[in-house]
Amino acid sequence: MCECHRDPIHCIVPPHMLRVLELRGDPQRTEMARELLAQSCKMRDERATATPMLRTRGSASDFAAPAFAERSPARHLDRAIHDGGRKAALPGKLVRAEGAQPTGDADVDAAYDGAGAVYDFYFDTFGRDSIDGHGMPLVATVHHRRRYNNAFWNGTQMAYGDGDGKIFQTFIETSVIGHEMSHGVVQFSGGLTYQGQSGALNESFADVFGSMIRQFRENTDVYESDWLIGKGILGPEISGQALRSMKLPGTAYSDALLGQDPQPYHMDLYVNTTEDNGGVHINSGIPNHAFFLCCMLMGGKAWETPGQVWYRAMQQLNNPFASFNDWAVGTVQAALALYGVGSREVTAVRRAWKLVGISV
Amino acid sequence: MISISTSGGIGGFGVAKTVEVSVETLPEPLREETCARLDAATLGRIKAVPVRGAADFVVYHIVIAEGGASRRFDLPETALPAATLDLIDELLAR
Repeated sequence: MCECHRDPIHCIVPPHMLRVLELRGDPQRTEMARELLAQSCKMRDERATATPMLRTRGSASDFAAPAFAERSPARHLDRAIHDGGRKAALPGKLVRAEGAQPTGDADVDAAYDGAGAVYDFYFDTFGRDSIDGHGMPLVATVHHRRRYNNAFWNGTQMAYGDGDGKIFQTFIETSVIGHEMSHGVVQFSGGLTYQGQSGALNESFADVFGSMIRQFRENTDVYESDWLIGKGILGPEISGQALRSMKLPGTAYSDALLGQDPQPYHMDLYVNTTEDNGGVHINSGIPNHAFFLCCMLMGGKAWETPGQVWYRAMQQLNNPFASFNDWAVGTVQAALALYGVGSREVTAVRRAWKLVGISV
Repeated sequence: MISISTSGGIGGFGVAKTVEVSVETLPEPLREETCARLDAATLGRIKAVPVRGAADFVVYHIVIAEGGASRRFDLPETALPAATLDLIDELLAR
């Protein structure tokens, strides 16, 4: 028991509290928490926001991400697209700032338009002003590195490779742009550590909202959508349609070089692996499929009802280490708050999770 | 001998081929740069510090074999200097 008059963090603090501080604290407390953790356990890769949650309604268990608790009616769209020059240094050369005319570089202009579409989706649908909810500039780099077969969010910006033309031909595609920017939304919504089930939830949120953004942009309803993530980005000789399928996890590709799409659609098929930070891109198929099933049960446009549930659940999760079960409970709680006890919406959410092997 | 392979990324799989580089056969100044940036001491000083919020990054698995011994380094691209990433791209393209 701490009897000193110093900051209580210097006294006996359990590891799980240290880990949350390490994820969310200011730089000084983050470093302190890391040092304390290193003394007692091996630290694993962790991803989280630096933004603490806000207490709502005065209850010990009611928290919300600041962007949700303090919704802003004002738009602050501020895009800055850079050309990486096929080098690794970020962000590269600014080639199209907000309001500037098209450059003629297809990737630059598509990244600019895509970022705008993502911003519009989050603002029009959820009242969210940019990735952090407070008008954060949307910085992106295209032509990142040389023949780079990847796109990523690095905590402050998006980066898109050109692909090598064989395995991948592009990464400038609406669901991919939405996916990367939605990782930022997760970061500024309480965060989900990029490992195991919480990491798979992080990936799933990015896929779910990336898919919704594409549907929003194309104005398709849940029955019209093909529910593919990264459709058309694979190389011309690759046997596959996309990176992932939310409708049919495990069927997006089957190729001699890439192998078989490994995503499961049910907890019975959960993949235990040390690869890919514990399979974050693999087991995301399960919550992805739950969202798809929820949409099939509710109909309409994905962002009207299911999307509202998923967004609210993320804003109030307050658990960077959430398991699939924790997340499922959160979505039911969100549906209860939005639509009430006994509503068809709550029934649909519960049924969707049941169908992927999670009872809530 | 240096071997470089990858994992992770937006697809969750490493798609770059595993490259094995015999440093002695590299032309100058590539050989000099490779010795400087991809030696055990230099890589050992790089901390694979988690970057807040980062996702879909590639992890590089670099094995350095020298004098009968080998050491492996698993480093996310977010931890590697830009010049080292450019060097890796150069080596992967050969």
